[in-house]
Amino acid sequence: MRPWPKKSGEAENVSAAVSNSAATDPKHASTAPGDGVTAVVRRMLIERSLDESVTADADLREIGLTSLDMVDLVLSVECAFNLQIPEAKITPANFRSIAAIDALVNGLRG
Amino acid sequence: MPLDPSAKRLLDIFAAGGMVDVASISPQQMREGYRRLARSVDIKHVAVESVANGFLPGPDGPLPYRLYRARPGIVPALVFFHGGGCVFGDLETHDGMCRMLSAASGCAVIAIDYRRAPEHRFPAALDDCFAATRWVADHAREHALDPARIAVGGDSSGAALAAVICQMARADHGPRIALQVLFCPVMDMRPATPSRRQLAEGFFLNQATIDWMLQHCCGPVACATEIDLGDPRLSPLRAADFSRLPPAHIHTAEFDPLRDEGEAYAQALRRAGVGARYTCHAGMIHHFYAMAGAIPAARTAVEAAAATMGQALGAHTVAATPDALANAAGLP
Repeated sequence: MRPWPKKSGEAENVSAAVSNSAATDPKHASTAPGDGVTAVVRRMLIERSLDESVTADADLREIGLTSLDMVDLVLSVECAFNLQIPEAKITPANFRSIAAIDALVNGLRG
Repeated sequence: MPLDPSAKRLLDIFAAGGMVDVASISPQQMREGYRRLARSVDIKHVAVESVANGFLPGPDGPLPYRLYRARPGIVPALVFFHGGGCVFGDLETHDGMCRMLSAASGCAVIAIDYRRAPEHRFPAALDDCFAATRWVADHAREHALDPARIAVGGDSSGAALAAVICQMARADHGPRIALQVLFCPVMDMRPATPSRRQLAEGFFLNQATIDWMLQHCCGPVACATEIDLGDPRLSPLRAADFSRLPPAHIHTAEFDPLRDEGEAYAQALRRAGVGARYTCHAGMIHHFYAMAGAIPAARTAVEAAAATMGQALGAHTVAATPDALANAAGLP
């Protein structure tokens, strides 16, 4: 299900995080959970030579994205899902992790 | 006026990234981040007649440059120094800005890829930019540029380099510079201006970032002890004499912490009898000129600034006498 290699011992946590995310947001059931957002984030991490084995709940700033990178992240998510994220939704919390962005995107598309 | 909505959106996005301790970011990371930012927000596909990369002899080896031309024939030229605290920024990060400056002015623009810190500390960048300016003036004819109509300019720290080069050229008797065009210049390393205070955080550039640049430019030792921040080569606003400098076009942004020092420089020039045209771009933020892909009003602002520069340099006249040129450029 997860198309990228994991650091040893991380796989359980990833699955758990994704399951939690899916459990709290029923829309996840009908779409591939997090794949679009995950693809955007993975592309960014690879471009930045950072470890791409990110978990859904990992804090994106802690794994190395900076506020300069946020522009790329926000614009790429908007482009990937063909939507404009309203100003009020552009908050640190909504872009903290893949799971958070996923919830935001699903909320906006709902 | 309020913040431009597109500029505000960018600031919101930066803020959503949370506070990053700038001290933890390496120069290499900052360079790459800045280049990626440019790929996201710089304006693309602004047409010019030609773009040519080349090398000119610098004090420590060949210096890459990029020459933009908007039209054929002998034209005035702007020697352009990008911003980035002399640590980051390059020909790519300011490509869109240089294209707009050339296309909307009719002038050629020669962007200089000067040496950056920390590999090459202050004043390496300044030495390179001065040598580049002299080279352009000396070799103007070979590149169909008018040696009597050479301007220098830049943004942020690059604008400071341009201002300092004008001061150096005056002291060194050359090269002759017809105009200085400064976008959001850093004019003082320790200014007590209202804009630095009121816009200290959340407006793209903050004191922590400026200090980070200074540390890399001047060395890891606390700058205040090792380097005189009042050195006019770092703080051109602290020069003793502003007379006999080239006329200036100074552009600031309303929501830039550097706004007031740019205005102060215009006033200092005027008090010394130097023509200075000052424009504060309403609703804009620091670096707006290099984010025109995401801020539509930034394009309008840069193109208006370029058109004014083109008029001052007589870009659309075949030949200008030095006196006519000085008069045109000096109009406040």
